[in-house]
Amino acid sequence: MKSAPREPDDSVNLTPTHWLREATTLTVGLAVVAVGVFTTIALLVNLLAPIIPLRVEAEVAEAILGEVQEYVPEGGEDLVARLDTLVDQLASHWPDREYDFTVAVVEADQPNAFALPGGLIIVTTDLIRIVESENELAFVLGHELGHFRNRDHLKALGRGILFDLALASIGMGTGSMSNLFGSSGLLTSRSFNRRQERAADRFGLGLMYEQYATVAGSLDFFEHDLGVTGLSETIADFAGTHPGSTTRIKEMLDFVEEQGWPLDGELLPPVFQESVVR
Amino acid sequence: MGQLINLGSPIFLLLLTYFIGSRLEANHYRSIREREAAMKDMVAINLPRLPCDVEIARAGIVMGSVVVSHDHFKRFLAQLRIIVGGRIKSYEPLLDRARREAVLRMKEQALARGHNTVVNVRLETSRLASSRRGGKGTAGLEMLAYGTALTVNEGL
Repeated sequence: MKSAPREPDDSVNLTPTHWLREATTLTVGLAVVAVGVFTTIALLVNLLAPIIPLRVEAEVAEAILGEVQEYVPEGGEDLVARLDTLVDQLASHWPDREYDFTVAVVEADQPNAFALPGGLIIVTTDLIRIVESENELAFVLGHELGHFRNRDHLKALGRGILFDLALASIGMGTGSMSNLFGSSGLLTSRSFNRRQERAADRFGLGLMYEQYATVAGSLDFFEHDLGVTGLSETIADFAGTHPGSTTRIKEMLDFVEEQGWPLDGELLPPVFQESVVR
Repeated sequence: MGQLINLGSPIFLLLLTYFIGSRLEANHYRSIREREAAMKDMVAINLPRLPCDVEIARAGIVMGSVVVSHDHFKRFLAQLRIIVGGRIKSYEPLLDRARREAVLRMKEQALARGHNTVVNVRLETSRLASSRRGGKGTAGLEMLAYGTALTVNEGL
């Protein structure tokens, strides 16, 4: 017997493929599906959030309060009492509110405030440090009250949980995959958020006007972080949770003008700052 | 900006591993083809014994083993493919290279020991577990080719 040696051939076991094209097709296709799924979830959550009972929210608030305890600065009771008063004053102009608001202060290097379930408002120490008047802080707090009125806090939380579940259900809980697809979902969810931010801004301005008879100081908060301009701001506007500062200020100014609210007036000193542990 | 970095860095990593992976694959295929051409006269068959009477001077076991891993880009492609189903084409070159490399190494070992034929060739794979995903991930595969090397006195 004679063997007829031959070189193995490349063609049988390999499918000729252009890898980048394959990657693009799969990524774009799946991203479209992801955006569809996330939009559906977001719409459902927006429909369902308003019917979640307050009792359930209160329980969640209790749990969150427990979690944030370790970030609460020492000796912050006085500050919390002052902020509670300020929130109550603002909320008194919202007669059909359903929440009893609770303020918690946490030590953090970012000036920020969050609306959480059950009427819980978390304020960072850095926000207290940077504000230059009571009016400025009142706008931020009024804005958060606006989120409660539209129950945005539940929508955001519900979306977050369901998005994570959706990703985990196809095995993309971790890694670069969830980064990419999480982002396409996030961008979708953020376009909802931006609309909510605008509504909250308007509500906050309204409360401010009721309380101080002027909306002076409401725009001061944006003066602190106007670090981004031009192109990067456009990107920030698209990708960020909140509308870019310039767009946002303009919208607020237009709204204030429409309502005929005065933009000037005396600002109240930020007395609550005395309580911040430095 | 942070979002852009978050989104951009995985894409950058994918592209980088695509270019590096493609380059390494092309180099490996070049080496495989050259060595296959050089060794095409060595018979390696999967019959347990030669189908003819020949005089065998020596015999011994030979094996060639190769451990391979997919690159990040191809793994990403495979992960996408798994969601919708279908052929995981991005793993095909990887396994093809592994099989051919293992057989080549087996032949090279046979040659180094003075054999000129290998019979009863078998291929086996085993998965190497990775610490990722709680030990359920795959770090790579081992492809093992083994057989009985013979020194046949007359040419086949």
